Amino acid sequence: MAGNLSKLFSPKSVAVVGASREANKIGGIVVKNILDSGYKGLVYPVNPKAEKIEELKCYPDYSSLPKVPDLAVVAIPAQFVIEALEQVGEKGTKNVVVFSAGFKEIGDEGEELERQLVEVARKYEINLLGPNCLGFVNNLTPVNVTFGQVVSNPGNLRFVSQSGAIASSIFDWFEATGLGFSEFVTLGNKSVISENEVLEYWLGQKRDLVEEQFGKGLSGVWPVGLYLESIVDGKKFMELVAEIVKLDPVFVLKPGKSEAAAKAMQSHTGALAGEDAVFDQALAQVGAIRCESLEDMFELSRAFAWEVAPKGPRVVVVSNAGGPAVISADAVGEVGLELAPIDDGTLTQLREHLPRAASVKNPVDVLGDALAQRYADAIEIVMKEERVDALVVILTPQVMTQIEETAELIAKASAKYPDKPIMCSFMGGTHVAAGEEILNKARIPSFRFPERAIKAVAAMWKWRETSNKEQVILQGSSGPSAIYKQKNK
Amino acid sequence: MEKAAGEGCESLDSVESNGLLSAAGINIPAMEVVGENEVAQEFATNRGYPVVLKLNSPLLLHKTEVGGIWTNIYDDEELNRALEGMWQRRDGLEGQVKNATSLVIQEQVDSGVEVIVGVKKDPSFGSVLMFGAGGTLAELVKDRNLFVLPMSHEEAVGLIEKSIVGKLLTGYRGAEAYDLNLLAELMVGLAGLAESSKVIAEIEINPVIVTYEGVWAVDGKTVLRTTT
Repeated sequence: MAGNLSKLFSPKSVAVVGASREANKIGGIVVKNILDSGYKGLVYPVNPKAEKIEELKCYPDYSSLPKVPDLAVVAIPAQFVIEALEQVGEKGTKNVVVFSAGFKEIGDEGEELERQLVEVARKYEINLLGPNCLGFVNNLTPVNVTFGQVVSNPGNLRFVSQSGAIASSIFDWFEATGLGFSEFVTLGNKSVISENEVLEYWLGQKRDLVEEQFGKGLSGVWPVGLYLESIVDGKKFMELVAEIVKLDPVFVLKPGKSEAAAKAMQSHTGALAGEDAVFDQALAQVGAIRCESLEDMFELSRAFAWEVAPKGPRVVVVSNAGGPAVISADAVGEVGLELAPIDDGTLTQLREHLPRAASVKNPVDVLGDALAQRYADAIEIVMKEERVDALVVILTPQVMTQIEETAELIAKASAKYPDKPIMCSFMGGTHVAAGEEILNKARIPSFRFPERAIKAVAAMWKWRETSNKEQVILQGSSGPSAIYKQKNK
Repeated sequence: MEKAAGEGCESLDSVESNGLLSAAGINIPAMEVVGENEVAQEFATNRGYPVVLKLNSPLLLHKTEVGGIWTNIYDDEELNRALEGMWQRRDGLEGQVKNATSLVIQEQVDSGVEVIVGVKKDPSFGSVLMFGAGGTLAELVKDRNLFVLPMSHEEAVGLIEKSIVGKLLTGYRGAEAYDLNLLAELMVGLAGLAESSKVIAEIEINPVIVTYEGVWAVDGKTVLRTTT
């Protein structure tokens, strides 16, 4: 269907049809976003009513542009879009993003308009994103081709969202936690480009996680997150996902279990929902993870972006409170993980370093009066254990707890043992916030509740198990980088 | 089958469905349409007892509610009584349904585990196989296990093992385990049949009876995609 999407997502030049001088108009916001994102390519605003927009020369129509832009953004009312697209096609631009609403999502009239739109796109072999979409952000180019409020850092996440509104929430949340992504793509009505074309584009991407660009502490994979309300071609979707999961985890949020949700979605994009149980099974079959909620998706984003997937299901829990430790032990059993067995040597070491009253079996209870050093000792001892695959650290803010120091020491442990994931649960609100900030900077996921941390580890193990790959970590001169080899079957 | 779809038939009756399954290599207990009682008597004499009598119609998709099955016929006397009873039941049906309904005699498969195997076409993902506990309990137990086709033999075995009824099949409370391979073969065969046809919208066998000696498709149901 669509051709190579590299020019769409990394254009050397962008034209904005319907560019505006007004800061609150979509045509104005997108021009500002493109410029503010540090885009180094050429920008051509097109608007017959203006001579200059943001210090850029403005052109009266598309055909008068001096060059053929790689990408055209269309931000004009629906009834004018088809004509504009004809001009874009005539000029020779092959990639178009259409923000305009008023197509299939509004009903029959819009559906007819969209049908015509697709016809024109096909006539000129245009890769069309939208209509009725928020656009996309590519942090690697960099370029922000959206009319949304996006502040973003480059990182290893890749996102597709069928909804533009949810995208805004996700951007905001990313900013708060310091999560970065490479591309964030919204699909709108999926009239030409659907999730499959974007997945195919990502399959074809070969990328290095260069520390200079991305910083330390990333997991080494390029996780793919999808928010979808419908599936355009299930069989192709399964094929593509099955390929991607061999190297990178894929997690999907798709509402629609309830009839009400299904109805709401139909009006949102005019798309049909298939049976949810089938979708569930399809994902499980290809090794993708289904998110149960937005919270799930946020948490998995962080886990997969920042932590290496565990090589086995054995978890050790280190906690300064007995209650949450017990809850974690329960959770471990429920999600298909195991409590790592602690061998006698390790037990002895723990006994030497911890007070008599401390529990040294897994979960390891370092007691409520634990200062940062006791945490660090316990963590060092258990992480050395060969039969430990993952660590969950629980911290409750007691009067003497050294929250920030503990966070720093956990960060050190994470750097020291890069092939074992560490998840934290700093339980609380205000007091633990500073500690969580340190964890975020060190790229260690922290969860409000320990069960959530354990669920995240389980999802990561599940991916590792299903994709059956070996992870080899090499120490390069600029820091660790990860290469993945598939196990020979 | 294409002809039936072309004529606007929405579904096949048991005899036609079973013919399809048989052609796909799936074991069907011998059955015959009973035009006159002699046919039934001859069948029983040749094949032996026990037998069942069934009402057969593309319009009767749930036989049990209309008393459309008479099972456990072990001798001639019972057969005659059953024949009388079943003709009466057929005559008691509504006009249009009655005209499309025939009487069928079939070998009875003795005890085993009842399972359901079906294939449905999903608009997004194509053919999907469903496996689970079958027979009259099917709606109550809700043992629904799906697999998006294509499916290999190993995957079929895996699907059986993760189901609720699978616990019975793999040896429950001291009972001997059943050979899952024959059942898996049936599932793969049904999947192949459904995938190779453009006119089959849904095809279901309920029940498939799993015995220690073999696996029997006792009642097939086929819904066609109409082309008129």
